[in-house]
Amino acid sequence: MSRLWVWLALVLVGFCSAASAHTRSESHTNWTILDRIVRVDVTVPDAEAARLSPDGRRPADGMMLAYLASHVGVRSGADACPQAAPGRTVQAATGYRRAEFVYDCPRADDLRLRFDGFFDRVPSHVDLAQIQFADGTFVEELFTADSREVDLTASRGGRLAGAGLLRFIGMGIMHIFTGVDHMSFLLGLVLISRRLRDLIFVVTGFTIGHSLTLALAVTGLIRPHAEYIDALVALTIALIGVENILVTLRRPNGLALAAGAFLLGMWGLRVLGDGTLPPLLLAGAALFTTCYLMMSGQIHDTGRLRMVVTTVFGLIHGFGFAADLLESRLPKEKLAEILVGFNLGVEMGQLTVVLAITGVVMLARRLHLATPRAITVDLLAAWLVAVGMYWFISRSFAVAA
Amino acid sequence: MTLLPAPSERRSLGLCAVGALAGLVVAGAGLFTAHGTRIAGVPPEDVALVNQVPILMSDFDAQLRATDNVGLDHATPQQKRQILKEMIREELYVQRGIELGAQADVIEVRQALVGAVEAQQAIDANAAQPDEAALHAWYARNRARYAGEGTLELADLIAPSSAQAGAAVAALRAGTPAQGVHSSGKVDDGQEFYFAARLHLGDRLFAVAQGLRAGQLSDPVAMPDGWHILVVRSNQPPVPPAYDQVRDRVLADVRADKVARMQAGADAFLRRRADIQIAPGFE
Amino acid sequence: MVRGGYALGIAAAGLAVAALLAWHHATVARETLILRGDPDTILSDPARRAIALRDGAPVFRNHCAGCHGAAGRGDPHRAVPNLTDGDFLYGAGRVGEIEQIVLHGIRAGDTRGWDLAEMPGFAKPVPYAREPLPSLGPQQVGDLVAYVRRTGPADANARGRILFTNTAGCWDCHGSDGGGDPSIGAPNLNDRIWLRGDGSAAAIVDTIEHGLAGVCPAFARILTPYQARVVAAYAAALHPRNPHR
Repeated sequence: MSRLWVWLALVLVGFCSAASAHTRSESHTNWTILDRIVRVDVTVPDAEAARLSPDGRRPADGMMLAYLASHVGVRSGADACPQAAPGRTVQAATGYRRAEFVYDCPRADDLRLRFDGFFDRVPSHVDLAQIQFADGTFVEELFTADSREVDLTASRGGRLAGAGLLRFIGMGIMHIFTGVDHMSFLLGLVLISRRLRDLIFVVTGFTIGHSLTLALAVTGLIRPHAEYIDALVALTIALIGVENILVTLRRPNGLALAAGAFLLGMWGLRVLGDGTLPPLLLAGAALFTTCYLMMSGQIHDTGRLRMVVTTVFGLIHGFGFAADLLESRLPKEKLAEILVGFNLGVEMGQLTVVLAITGVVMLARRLHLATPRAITVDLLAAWLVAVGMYWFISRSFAVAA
Repeated sequence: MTLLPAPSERRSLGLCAVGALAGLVVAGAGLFTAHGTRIAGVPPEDVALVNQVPILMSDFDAQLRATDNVGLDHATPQQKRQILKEMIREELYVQRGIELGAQADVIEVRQALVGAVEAQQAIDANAAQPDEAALHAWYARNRARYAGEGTLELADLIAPSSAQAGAAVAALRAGTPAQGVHSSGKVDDGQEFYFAARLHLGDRLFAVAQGLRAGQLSDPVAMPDGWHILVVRSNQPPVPPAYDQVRDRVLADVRADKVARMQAGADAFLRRRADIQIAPGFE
Repeated sequence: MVRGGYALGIAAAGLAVAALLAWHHATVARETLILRGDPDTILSDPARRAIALRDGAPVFRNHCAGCHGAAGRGDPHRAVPNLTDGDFLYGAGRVGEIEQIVLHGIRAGDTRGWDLAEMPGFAKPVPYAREPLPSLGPQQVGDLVAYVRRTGPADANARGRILFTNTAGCWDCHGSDGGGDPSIGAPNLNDRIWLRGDGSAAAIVDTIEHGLAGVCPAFARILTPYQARVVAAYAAALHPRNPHR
């Protein structure tokens, strides 16, 4: 009983930390270059746009347009390209603001794209630019406080040709390193494996799972709604945390039923109208969670079972990786490169993270700095559950997190 | 070491496995059929998908037939491609219009949207067939409406003064021709329906005429243009028809009434669930 | 033992998935065959005809038989067309045309419905909302009926003819020869098939006096596109003398 209180306390602490784990400041720009006409579509999350108004509320369209018009531009050589039509705001997805600008450049060569927005308010702001040319080639660039201009001749010329694969590998690695949710999940995987053999099993299962769905989603065969996938990724983190706690309990069924009951409660709320996840999904997840947690509690050598389960979780994470990748409009010619490269990058990132964690643990043990395994696992698992549930709830109810 | 579970445990484990699998299938079904999932491939009922919005085969066939007067089998590939190109362009522009917020700016779009919503309410109301009991009840309540038109044939004579009018009435009643009166010319078409007679005579004279039987004369009626005498030749009041005769009109009226009620209800529903703020002084 | 259980479980799951996929594939193939082809040739192709008639019958029973009758014979008392008489009020009996009527209805409120004209009611102050037409008196209605039925004294016929071909505007929809116009749903007045009533003078008088504007509901949001097409094929096949059957 006292252990339960300890866990609850840890979970609460975890919530506090989760609340401060917030995404970095970023915006997206999509540039299309058609000879002398340059179109740019600027997408800004509500949180960023709110920085523009003095009282921190949602700025009016006119204010946002005026700000962006003066901070986004194109020049051809030394001449600034005039706007071909007034900038306009465009319908955006919930939580975002979108504006479009069109520039008519005097010459089609020596184009330089400029993005100046938000750096004066948030020095760490980044803008992810996707630039598409008339012949279909496609470049990704980053606007940061230190580099606010992109020279297209340099972009197109040598840096892309042949480096596509490397760029996508890099994207895959960065995706892992900057994705707190994926790293948390990997932490959960490491925690739950007592021996190296188990670790190999689970990581293999996870890899198979996410490679499959990454391929399915990138090729366009099936792409679920990104919001649902985000919520499910959070759920998998919470579940791996719960599983970690569960295997140490003497009577695991109670916790299994509690987890299932929680999801069933979400389903009930959804049926009453609150929430965004599909009701069938929540009901199915409740059933799956209860059953798999009960099985986890019963079977003690769970290497193969874990592999099956992490494959299933991997399926979800694969869709999550793809959703990120698909925010850029992928050029069809590069599909194979993208798939192979991004997946390789993800594998490499994963391996690095897993080895790093394992290395830290082994080092700590060697140096006699480690706390007993049980306490470490309790702490970390509780944190995983807290963070997972926080994200799951906030993403399910479409609260900006 | 691998610990084999005992048989009873194995059974419960098996059940758990089945449960987990079932849960996965259900969850997968929920996820992949949800709104926003993109599945590659064009469903059989569509000819194309534009950002996941379908263009229906039936619309394509109808457009092909309307534009080129040819069925799908006999259309040339160029004709098909041209029609599809135009339909895709229309869909792209509609989506672009929504993106640009045309529903807020363009008057014709707003009018078309209002009409479309009203039409949809009508479609919903017309989808169900009212039952016989409802039709009978409506007929019983509104029998007068279906009574048809009575017919009236009369002469409308005007006398310049009250005295002459009185003399004319006396003469006509005695069977002799009247002097000093002339026909107003308004009811010279012969037998007409009640509504036409009402239009020609005006409400007051028509009320008088309606009460007279065939062959009867009215007393002189004072009107701004003289003293009117109405001579009724025939007067057939409306006959309420049997239900079977007017069933189709009853059906049409019941449907129209249902549409009006549903539209009023939808109106009230929209107002209630909207957050409407009105400036002070204009409530 | 456990390993064998795993293998069995995986095999069972695989079999179930394969069966599901096969069923899905068959459904998609059947729908593609019916929906992607020319609707007007469904009935002349034995394979498609069989599928369409088999799948269209339950749809007809559930949605159309309520008005048109189980055998599609309609009901002249209620001005419901007979679908088996080989005479077409709208169009020429092509499956594509019937499909459009099923989807968008007639005077059902759908903007794409076949709502080009109604029968005006001449015993009303405003007989027709779409264009100005004169109201008629009882004798004029009688003359029209005489002309339409080709009975009655010659002078009534003559007056009726003037009304038909000129004053009352009947020629505009029904044609100067009274042959009707299937593109707007104006019936042929020269045959023995009557949409409403039995062709007696009283019935025609009633129709001319009060007008006629029947409603066929729009099923675009109630039926799937596949169901709409197969029920259209089924209805087209009900006409024994349909040139397109």
